[in-house]
Amino acid sequence: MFYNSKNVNLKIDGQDILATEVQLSYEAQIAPYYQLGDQYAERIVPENIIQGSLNFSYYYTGVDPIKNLISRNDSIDFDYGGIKEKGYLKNYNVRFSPHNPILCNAELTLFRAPTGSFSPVYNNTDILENVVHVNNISITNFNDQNISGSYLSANYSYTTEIRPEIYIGDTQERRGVFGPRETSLNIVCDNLNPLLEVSGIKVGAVLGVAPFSTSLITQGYAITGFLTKKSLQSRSEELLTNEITIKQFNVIEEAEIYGFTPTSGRYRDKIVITGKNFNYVARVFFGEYEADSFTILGENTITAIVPRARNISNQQIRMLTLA
Amino acid sequence: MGLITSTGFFKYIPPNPKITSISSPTGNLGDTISIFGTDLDYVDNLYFGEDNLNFAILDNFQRIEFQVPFDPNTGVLEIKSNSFELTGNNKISFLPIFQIEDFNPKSASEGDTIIVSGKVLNSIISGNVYANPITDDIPYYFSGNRNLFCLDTSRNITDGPLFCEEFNINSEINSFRTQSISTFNLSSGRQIYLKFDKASDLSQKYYEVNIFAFPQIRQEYFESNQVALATGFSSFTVNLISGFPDTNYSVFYTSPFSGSTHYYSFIKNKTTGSFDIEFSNALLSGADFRYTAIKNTGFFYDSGEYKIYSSVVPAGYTSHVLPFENNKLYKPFLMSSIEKIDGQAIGDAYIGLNNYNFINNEFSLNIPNANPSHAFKVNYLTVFNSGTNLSTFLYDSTGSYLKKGYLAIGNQDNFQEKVPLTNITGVNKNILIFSIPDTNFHINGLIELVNSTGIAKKSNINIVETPIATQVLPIEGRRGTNVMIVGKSFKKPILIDGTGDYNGVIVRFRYADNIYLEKKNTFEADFLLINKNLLSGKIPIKNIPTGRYALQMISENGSLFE
Repeated sequence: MFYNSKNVNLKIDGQDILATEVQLSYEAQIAPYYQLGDQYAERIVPENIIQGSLNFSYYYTGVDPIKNLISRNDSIDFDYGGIKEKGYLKNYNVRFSPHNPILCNAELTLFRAPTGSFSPVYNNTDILENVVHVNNISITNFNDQNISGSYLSANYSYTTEIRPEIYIGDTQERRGVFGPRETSLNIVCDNLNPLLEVSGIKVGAVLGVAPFSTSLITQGYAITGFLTKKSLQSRSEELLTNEITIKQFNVIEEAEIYGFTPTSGRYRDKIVITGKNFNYVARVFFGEYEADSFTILGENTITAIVPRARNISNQQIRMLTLA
Repeated sequence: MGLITSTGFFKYIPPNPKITSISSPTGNLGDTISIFGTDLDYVDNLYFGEDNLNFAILDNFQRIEFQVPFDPNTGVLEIKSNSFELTGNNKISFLPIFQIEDFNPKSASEGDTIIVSGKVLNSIISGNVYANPITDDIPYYFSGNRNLFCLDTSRNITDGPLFCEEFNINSEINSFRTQSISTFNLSSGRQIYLKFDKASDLSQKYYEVNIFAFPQIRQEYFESNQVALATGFSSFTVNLISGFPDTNYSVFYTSPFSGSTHYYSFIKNKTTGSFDIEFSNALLSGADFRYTAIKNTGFFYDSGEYKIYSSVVPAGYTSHVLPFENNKLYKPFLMSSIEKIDGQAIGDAYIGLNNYNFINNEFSLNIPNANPSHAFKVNYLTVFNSGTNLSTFLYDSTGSYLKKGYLAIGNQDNFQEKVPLTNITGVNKNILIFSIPDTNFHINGLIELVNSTGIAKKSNINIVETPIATQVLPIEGRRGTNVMIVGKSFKKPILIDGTGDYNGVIVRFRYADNIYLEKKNTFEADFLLINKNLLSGKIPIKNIPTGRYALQMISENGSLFE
């Protein structure tokens, strides 16, 4: 019987992933034992460790559970159509193109053979119904040097190294040991600042994603690092494109909003917001409306001016930060 | 990471969108109009009648800009916000200026019907009144330096005082009366005597006079004392009873000679303490009624004394003056002359004002929706009460009633000839019908319509005139007898360059017994063109035998008359 799967049932860390493509592969680590002069190995020395990977692509639907797993230093459970095991997040990539769905890709590294059996899923849900398109690539530049005027596309990626920790006599890894982590943001723009230096330029950028036809930013992709690459590409009858790459190798403590006062106001009123790690705040929103202006008074305090709002229902205060 | 969100919610305090003013209460179709206010970005819809207009929000949300729409249906702009309550005046009266778009037929003869089509010809008035306002021209002539006479030839004035309103002149009517009788219960054809306070303005080229009567729409009666006048009185006083509303009043008196009741009105105001009314001897002799304006219009105390005197002591005058006899208080009303075009009733009609408010000598009213089920025309719209001084054209500044129309020749700014249009009838708000008047031009004429908001013109109307003879005077005579031929269009109307031409009519006498036209029995006559409708000549003295002849007119198109 041939199965035609329109959707794939994939759970990562207990959460459903609207995956468009999943590939699970694993292989045994075996070593043939050759004696001198042997053309054929009569003995096989198997290792207990399985080397595998779960590679999957999915559309961003408003919530991206994988993004929040980047900083996890532990294994992640997955369930792929009934096949279950643990893995470690090795790669994560998000591609932003105007008027196209936000396409994510992630890879888990496996050191154990999965268990369970695979059951094809017949889910006729049109996955495009909930797909979030890029409303606008809005990049806030913390550097004094302007990067460019208009952004064409962007690619946010995370990668790390992962090795199993195994001791003599172990039949499976005790834990995953993470190596150096690297986060990068590639930005394609139409007119790169030619004076932009590529060496030693510290850049902070945050990319806000608003679902198609809305202006409420539901996800932010932040990076604070160094400008490591810039390129210029021209091709006949195509747009001239520039590309820059920002890489981050460290972790900045996440910001948090404790509260704000007054809790009500009208257009042009000043609101005081308290919290922590506000030094990396790039933009402030009252719901979907961006504050007319804001001032970082300190690490714990920001004042923001209430913007005009057409929808005056109660709104959460949102901040895009580089943290 | 990247995005943080507060757990609490921020509560927006609603804005206060407000409408304050409009750049212009009127405008041509397509004109850009601005509405001013605050927080106008919360305006969602701008309706003009049933039309949902496009608009732009400008100047930091303090201005809305829109274009006067095509063929609007009402005169009210309504600004709406779906989210918040709009304060201020969110319903603004707006009056698009009418336009003439076309008329048909382009070529017609005198008496033919022309249909004019255009936009907003009903001249929407302050929001809800639909009309094709047309004012009849009333013939007038000047006499002396300051007097103007007009003749009411079209209306049946049955009751109530008579009022005249002047247009396009700065002078105001100082007084008026009938020319020969003292009663105001006039019939058609009576002459009205008008006296203006300025003589210079009467020399202006174009103006018109309208005469209309109105009935007493509403009366309010108050107690008052009657003052009997002694014989030979020169003045008398009136004591008013307290409790009179602060409004306008009339003094009534009864003439001892004619037995009719007249009154004069004055405005109660609060500036001085007395007023005088002077009657001329013409009044007191009973032969005529004439009065001057109130000398000193003053503060009208409820219980004050008021002096009314005559300039001449009449002999045998035994009647009395009845200040506030009946105490008629005339409430304002909207008056219009409505004429059905279906040939049924024609006459004055009144659009009742049910919603009006009279406070401290000022009144406000709501114009009713006066769009009747049949086509009609409104001759005038006015609000007034019992006194001439109170007569006011409410819409003179903001209204758009059609005042008069012309058929003219020449360029649009310099008419060579301008003929008033008569018998203009409104079919509906976008169509007028009129008859082509007798003119001396026939091509490239133009129609000019005038109302209170401006002048609309349309050019290239052509008039075809065919010569027609209707009468020969006398019908018999000797050789050498003068003969006149009465008819129409013996002369071609002038062309666009202003030159005229004889219509090519040949006049000759043909021997009546000669059934078949033979040249030897016909005698051409020498006729002169007296005017375009009259030819004059003589029976030839020589070469015409005695007998019965037919007078024959032949034009380029054949025989016209015999």
